[in-house]
Amino acid sequence: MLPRTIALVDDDPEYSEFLAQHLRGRGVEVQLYADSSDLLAAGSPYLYEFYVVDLMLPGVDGVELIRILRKRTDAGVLVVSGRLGAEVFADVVNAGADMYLMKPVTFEQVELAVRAVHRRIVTTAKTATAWKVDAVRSTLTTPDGQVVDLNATDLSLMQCFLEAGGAVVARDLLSERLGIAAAGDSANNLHATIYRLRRRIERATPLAVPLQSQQRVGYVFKAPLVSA
Amino acid sequence: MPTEANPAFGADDGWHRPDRLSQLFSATPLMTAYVDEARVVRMASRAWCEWFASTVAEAIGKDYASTVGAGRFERHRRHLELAQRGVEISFEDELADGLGTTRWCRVHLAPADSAADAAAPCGVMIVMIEFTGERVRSELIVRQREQLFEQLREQQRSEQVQAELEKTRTLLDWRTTMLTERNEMLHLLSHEIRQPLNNASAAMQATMKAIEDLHIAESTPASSALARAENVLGQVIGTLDNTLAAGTILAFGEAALETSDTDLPVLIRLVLADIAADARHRIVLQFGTDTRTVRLHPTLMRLTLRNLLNNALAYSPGDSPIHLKVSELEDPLAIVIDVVDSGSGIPDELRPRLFEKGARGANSRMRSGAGLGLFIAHSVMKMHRGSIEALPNAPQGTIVRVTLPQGLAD
Repeated sequence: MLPRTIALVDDDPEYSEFLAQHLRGRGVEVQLYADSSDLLAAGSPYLYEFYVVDLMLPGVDGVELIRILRKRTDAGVLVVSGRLGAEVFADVVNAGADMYLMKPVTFEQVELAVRAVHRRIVTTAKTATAWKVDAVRSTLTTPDGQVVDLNATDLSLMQCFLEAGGAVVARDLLSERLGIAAAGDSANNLHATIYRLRRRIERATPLAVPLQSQQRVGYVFKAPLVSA
Repeated sequence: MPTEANPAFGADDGWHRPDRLSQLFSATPLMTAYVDEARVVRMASRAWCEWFASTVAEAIGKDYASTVGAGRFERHRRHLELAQRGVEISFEDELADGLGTTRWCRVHLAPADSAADAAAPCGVMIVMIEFTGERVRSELIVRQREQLFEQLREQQRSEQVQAELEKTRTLLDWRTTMLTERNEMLHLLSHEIRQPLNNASAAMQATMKAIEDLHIAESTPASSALARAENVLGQVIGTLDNTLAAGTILAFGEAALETSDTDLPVLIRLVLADIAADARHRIVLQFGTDTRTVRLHPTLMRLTLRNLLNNALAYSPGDSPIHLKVSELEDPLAIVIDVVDSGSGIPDELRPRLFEKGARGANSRMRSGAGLGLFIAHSVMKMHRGSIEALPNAPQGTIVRVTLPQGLAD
């Protein structure tokens, strides 16, 4: 699944031109911006369905651009950059990018990443059908109708996300509510519990599971979630 | 002792009677004494007697040796014998009091009877002058001089240390400059070289696509030449990626590692697209789990898996399949990825340093590469708190197994 429109923000004209050509060949409407300020100054900079962004840009720096975009849009953001360094990846993820691809990449790889990110967004955050938590039966129903059994801990977890209404739940709060360790190497710590629950859901449905971690902060359920 | 009247004493000879002389002698504050030719103390001052812890009454008429003590006499004997033979002499003597301090005095011995027969011993006049104060002062001065010298030496030493430090600092500055230059060069490589390579690769892809779209049968040689060129480019890019990763990301160590929730099937498809197009078909993907979201560092894992696959492709027969198997562990929670080949296996001599920088197999079909692939894979797995191992694959070949722990705190 490809988005209908993509803003491609990259100051390397050859690369952008070739990539745009490739994506247009797939039926995507691509607008090129060599300078991030050009995008921000454009008529409707936040209406694209997808953004492919380089980090080293004239105008507003790539990481900053992602941060700005994230304030206004839930569209997919893919970073394709040659920038190296340990801090880069963390910066990009913390700023709100959905995926980071290190150059050099082929157009197939960019296309593949765009498809994967876009599909995840469309099937989670932008889905019309909500995920349903049934406290009585202790189940979670996926938008495609699969029913996942929840144990007591999983149910408390899902209730936390229900109450949060799409906001990030701090991991300290989660571990307190669940009565388990927030960290440590215990097999039953919060991270292991979430990993197991997500895995259980992934076994039941091919849909992307909107249970996402926010580095060092907590977890968020990034999709409509209702109580059945 | 002369007994007849001496005209020098005058008419009144009462004042120089021996007892009067002895009394006068003993009253002097000087330390002085007279011993006769037989070394018997004939006259002695109180001060002299006190030096030897004796009294005038005790000392007079006694042997010199018994007054000064046997040990001390041994030290005096040589000097006394010389003086008794007419030589005026002086020497130093010391006296330890009971409190552990020492007093010093200079002992002057003067032959008393110059007229005596040179062969026969004569009496000796003894005068002792204490110089303990002087001696202590001079010792103090010597000590102070030594202390001053020591301070001077200390200062010189610290100046030397300072100079050494200065040298080390200069070296460190130089090293920092070199490291900065090295990093700048790595960044130059990473951006100024890889980007154009990327563009060249893009141009080739576009050309191939254009040729393909023409649907001309004669274009096959051109297409395959382009495909080969792109493979070469891919190898150069791969080597550059490894070199840069070894020089930058890995140099920061585990502390810098940031993992994220990653879709493993997507990551693996990205990795497969990194593999040369004409070798890709040899890779057989086997998913033994439905788990898709895995916590890892996607850029480093992409590089790691690419390295493992390229190794397997290079070290096994040209048409043999390479299996990429994904499975999972329950306790402890982990994702396991096996890269299985049916090559000739890892030579024993390579095994101990398999994951070290520069380790390369002799039977590689791929001539490029700096032996960084497994080193990077090993470093990346360490950063993930995971593991990598090379196991034998029966009946032949190798299984390289990476284990990525899951459910860890970040």
